[in-house]
Amino acid sequence: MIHLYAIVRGLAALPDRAGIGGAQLDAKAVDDVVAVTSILSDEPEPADGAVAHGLVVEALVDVADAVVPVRYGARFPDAAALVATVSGQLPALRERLASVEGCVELSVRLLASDDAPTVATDGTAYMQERLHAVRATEQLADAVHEPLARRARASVRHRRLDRAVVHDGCYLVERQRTDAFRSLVEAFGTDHPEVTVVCTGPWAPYNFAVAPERAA
Amino acid sequence: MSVTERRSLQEEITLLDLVDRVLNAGVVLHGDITLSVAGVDLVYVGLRVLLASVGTLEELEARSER
Repeated sequence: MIHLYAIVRGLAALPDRAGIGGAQLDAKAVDDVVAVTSILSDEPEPADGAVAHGLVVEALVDVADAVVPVRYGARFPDAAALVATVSGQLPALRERLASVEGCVELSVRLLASDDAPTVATDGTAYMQERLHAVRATEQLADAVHEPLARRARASVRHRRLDRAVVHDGCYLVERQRTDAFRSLVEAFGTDHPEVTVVCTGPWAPYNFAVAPERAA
Repeated sequence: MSVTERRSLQEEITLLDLVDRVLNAGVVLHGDITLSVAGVDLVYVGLRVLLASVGTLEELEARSER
C-alpha cells in the first residue's frame, strides 16, 4: 500500500526524514508535479501515523518551492492507481501549487481570558448584555483579522462554537514576510491584554490546499 | 501567565494544531482510503483532538485566573 503525503513542485531533494513506520520517502513524478509517498507495511499502522504524516509535510516546506498538503488517509494499492488519481486532478493541483508557492500558513487565535460576570436581573437585560458582549467580541475579531488579511495572500476565518475562541484565522503569508506578520500579531496582543493571542506556524498551507469556493 | 507556562501552552497547542491540520485540512485525494488508524476510527481520533483542545482552553482559563 502506498501512502501519499503531499503534492509538490520544485523539490530540491527529499527531506532527511522517515515516513510512517520509519519507511523511506519516495518522490513520484506525475507530469510536472511530484507526489511524495512511502510504502506502508502490512503491520498495524503506528498510533502516531498522523503525526508522522504531518512532520513529513512540514519538512517538505523547507525543500520544495510549493507544497499542497494531502489530508491524512490517501492510500493507493500501487503506483499506477496513485498516478491515475493524481493525473485526474492535475489542473486543480497545478492551480493550487501556483497559489501557495513561496508561502506558509500562520494561524492566529484570540482566546477570551474570562467571561464577564452577568449582572442582569431579568431576561431582557440579560439578552442585551449578551448582545453587547457578542458585538464587542466581533469587533475585536475584525480588528485583529483585517490588518492581517491585508498582509496575507489569502485568509480563512473559522467559526468556532466555543465562546472562549474570539477569533480563529489562517493566513497564507509570503515566507519572507512572516517575521513582519508575527510582529503585527504580537503588537496586537500587547495592545489587548484582555485576550490571549496564540500564533502558531509557519505551517504547510493546509487550509489553502483547496480553492476557497470549494473548501468545506 | 509566566514565560514558561506560555511556552508549554504554545507547544501543546502546536501539536494539537498539527494533528488538527493533518486530519481536517489538506486536499482529499481519493485512493483506497483507510479511515482508521491502528483500528481506531478516524472520526473518533478527531473527537479526541477536539476534546483535548477544549481541555487546553479550560487549563488556559484556570491559569489566567491565578
